[in-house]
Amino acid sequence: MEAPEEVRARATLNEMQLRISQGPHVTLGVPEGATMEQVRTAFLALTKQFHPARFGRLAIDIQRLSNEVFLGIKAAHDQLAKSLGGGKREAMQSGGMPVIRPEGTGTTGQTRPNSTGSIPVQRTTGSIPVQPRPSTPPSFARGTERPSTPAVSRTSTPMQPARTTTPPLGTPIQRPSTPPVTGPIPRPVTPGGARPGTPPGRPPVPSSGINPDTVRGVAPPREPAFDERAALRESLMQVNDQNWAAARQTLSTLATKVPQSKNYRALLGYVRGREAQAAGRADEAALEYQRALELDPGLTMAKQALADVQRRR
Amino acid sequence: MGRVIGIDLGTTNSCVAVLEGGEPVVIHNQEGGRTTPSMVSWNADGEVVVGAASKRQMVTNPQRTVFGVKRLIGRKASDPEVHNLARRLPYKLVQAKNGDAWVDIAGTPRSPQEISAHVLAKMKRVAEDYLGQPVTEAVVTVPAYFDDAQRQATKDAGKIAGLTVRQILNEPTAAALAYGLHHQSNQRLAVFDLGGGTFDISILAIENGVFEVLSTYGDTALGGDDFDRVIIDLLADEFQSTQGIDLRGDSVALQRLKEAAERAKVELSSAMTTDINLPFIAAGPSGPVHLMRELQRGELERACKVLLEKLDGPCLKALDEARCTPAEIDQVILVGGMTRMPAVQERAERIFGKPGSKGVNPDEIVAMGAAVHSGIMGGELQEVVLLDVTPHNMGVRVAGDKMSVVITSNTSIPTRAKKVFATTEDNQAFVAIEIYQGEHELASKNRRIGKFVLGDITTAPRGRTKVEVSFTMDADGILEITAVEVGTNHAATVTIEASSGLTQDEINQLGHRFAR
Repeated sequence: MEAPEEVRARATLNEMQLRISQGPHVTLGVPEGATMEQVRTAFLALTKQFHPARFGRLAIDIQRLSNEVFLGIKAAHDQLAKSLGGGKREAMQSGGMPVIRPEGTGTTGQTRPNSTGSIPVQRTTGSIPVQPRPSTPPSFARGTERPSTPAVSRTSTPMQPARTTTPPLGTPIQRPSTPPVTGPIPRPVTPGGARPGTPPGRPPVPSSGINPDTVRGVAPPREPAFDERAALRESLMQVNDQNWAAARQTLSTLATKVPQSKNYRALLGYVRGREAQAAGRADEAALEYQRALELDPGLTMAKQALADVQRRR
Repeated sequence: MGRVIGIDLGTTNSCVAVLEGGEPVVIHNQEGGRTTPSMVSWNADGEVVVGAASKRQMVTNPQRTVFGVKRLIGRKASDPEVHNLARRLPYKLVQAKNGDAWVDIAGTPRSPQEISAHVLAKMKRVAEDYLGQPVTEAVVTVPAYFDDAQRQATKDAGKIAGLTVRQILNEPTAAALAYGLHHQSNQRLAVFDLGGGTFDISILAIENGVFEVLSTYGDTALGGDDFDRVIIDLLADEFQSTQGIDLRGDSVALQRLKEAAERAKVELSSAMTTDINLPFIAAGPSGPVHLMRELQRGELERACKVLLEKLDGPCLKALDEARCTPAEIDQVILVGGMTRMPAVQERAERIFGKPGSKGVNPDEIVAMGAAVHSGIMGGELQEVVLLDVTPHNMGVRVAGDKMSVVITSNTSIPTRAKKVFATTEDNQAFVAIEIYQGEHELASKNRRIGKFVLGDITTAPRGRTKVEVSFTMDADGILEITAVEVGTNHAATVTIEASSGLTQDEINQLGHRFAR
C-alpha cells in the first residue's frame, strides 16, 4: 500500500513531466518572449518544489522520477538562459577535452528517439567476472566529442507525452487521467471537479482524477487529524509536572505542525531551558530563555526563570 | 514517518542535531557534551567503547583505540596519503582483499566503515534518548572534496549502524544552510572550512531561498593535524639539536608530544604565550631529560607560515571558478576548530577583504546545517532548497592514458552528460570502460571508480561502431551509467565492477551484528 504523500508526489511529478514535454516555456510556466529575470524566478520557484531532496524520503522509483523531472526543469532553464544570453551557469558542460574526431551529427537539445533499452548500472562490489576473451580487452582509444545535450530521457518514463494536444502556451495543462495536484502547479478547477460536500478550503477530492483500477483498496490520502488544543493542553500539564523532556517532545510536534505560531516556539525554548537547567547547564538555559523571550516578550515564566538562573550565577 | 537527524561525522569530533519547530538544535550526548570524540576502542574482552570513554583509554590501550578513521574511509592502502598516515598512527593498518585500507585490531581486520558505524550508532542513540523515539534516517555530512568512493563508504557506514542515509551533504554547504536560515536575503557567501583533516572552500549564492553552490575547492591533506605536526617538529628538532635525542623515534614520547602540541595550539588561540612542560620525556646518558619551554604565538605563526600560505590557492581558484571577486562576497563563514587560530582568521580576512561572520559556532554549525537539510527533505522548510555541485571531474580513460572528462568539476547536480566513443580495433565485440575521478589529465593519476564492460556490440571495422555513454549524477553525487550503441539503439550490456568498498553481504552481516 502506498503512503498518501507518495500518491501525491507521483501525481505532481507526472504532471510536471507532461509540462516538460511541451517545451521550455511551458515547463517554466513563462510566456514566450519572457525576460531572463522571469525565467530565473520561475526556475528558482520550481527548484524549491521539485528538487530531488524534496522526494528523498519516498519510494526509490519516485526518487528516480524526481531526478528526471528536475533534470528536465534545469534543461529548460539552461536552454532559455542560453538563448537570452543570460545563462548564469550551464548545467551540462562538454568540458575542454581534446577533440580527436568531432562527430558531425551532434545536435544540441534533441532527445534521442529511443533509449528505452539502456540499462541502469547497479553499483555492486566484488569482482564480476568478465568473460575471458582470447585477446586482451581493447579499450577506447577515441573519445569522439559532441556537444553534450541536456536531454531528458523522456521515453524511459512511464508516460508518453501527447504532442498533438499541446495547448496554447501559458495555459495550464489539463490531463484527465492524473490525480489533481495539491501543490502550486496552476491547474483549473474543472466544474464538478470538487464533489459536493467537499469542505471549503480543502483540496478538491479527485472525481475524474484517479484511475479506479490503480487505487482500489488504497486508503484516501488523508493525514490523521491533529488536535492542536489537546496537544497544547497536554504540554501545559507536562510543564506543570515539570516533565521537561515530555513537554519538549509535545511542543516540538506542536511547533512543527503550527510553524507560524511564535508562541509555541517560545514555549519550546522555555522548556528546553528548564531541561538544560535541570541538567546543570546554566549558560545554555539562560540562552534558551533569552531566545524564548525574543520570540514572545510576554512569556513571564521565561522572564522569571532567566532572572533566577542569572541570580544563581 | 519518524524524524531525520543531522550528523556531522568529523575527523576528530562528531555532532548530532535535529530540527525542532523549524530550528536546528544540537543534542547533548549522555556525558553532557555537545560534541562526541570520533574515537572507538576495543577492550581486552572485546567490548566496544565509543566517544569520550574511548578517548580516556587512549594512553593505556593505544593499539586498540582508533581515531581519525575518516582519513582512511574509502581509500586504498596503496594511497600515498595513507602511507604517510600509517607511519604516525599507534594502531596498525592492513590491506583488505580489494586493496582498501583497513585497521587491524588485535588480529581482526576491521573496515573504516565498521569503525565509523560505531560512531554513527552512538550519535543515533544520543538522538533517540533525546527524542524519545527510534531514529532510522539521517543526513550525514562529508568534506566537499570527498570523492565517490569516500561518499559511498560513508553511506555504507550509516547502513551498518541502522541508519538510512537520506543524503550525503557537503560540510561547507551544510554550514551555509545553517547560517542562511536566518539570513535569507539574496547574497553571496564564502564558507571557509578548516577542520581536523581537510580544508574546503565553497562559494554560494542565496537567491530567493535557493542556496546555489557556485564552486568548491579543497585540499584533503591540510588540516589541524598538520599544524600539530609543525609544532611537534619544532619541539623535536630543537630537542635533538640540544640533547641529541630524536623524540619521534619513541612512540610514547611522540604521543605525549602530540598531546602537548595540540594543547599549546589551542591555548595560543586566546593567549599570547603558553608553557610546554614534559618532564622525563627521554633518558639521556646522564639520567632523565625534560622538555620545558615557553612557546609564543608569533613563534607558532612563523612555523606555520607554509601551511597558512596553502590556504590562498584553493580560495582564489574557487573565486575564479564562481566568476566573482572578493568584493562581491557579502559574508565569510568560518567553520572547523582550526578557524579559532587568529592567524587563520587573518589569512581568510586578507583573502576576502572582510572578517568572518560573528555568532557562528565552528564546531556545531555543520551538524545544524544537516538538521536544516532534514527539514528540507521532510517538508518542514518549504522555502529553502539547496543546489550543490560535484567537486571533481568524472571521466573515462581513453588511449594514451588520457582522461576524457564527461562531467566537469563544479557542475551543478543532479546532472546528466553524454559522450560518444568509437571502437579502436577491427571487429571489436565488446569494450571495457574505466571510470576515473579527478583533475589530472592522465587517468592513472586520478582515482579509479570502477570499470564496466559493454558486450554484444556490432562488429565492424574500427572506428565504425560508436557507443554513447551517459553519466547521470544524482543530488548525492552518486553516479549511474547507461550506454547505447549509436545507430542501432541497441542497449549495450553493462556490468560494473566497483574498485572499492564493502559488498551488500558484508554490510548486511555487520548490520545484523550491530542490531543485536
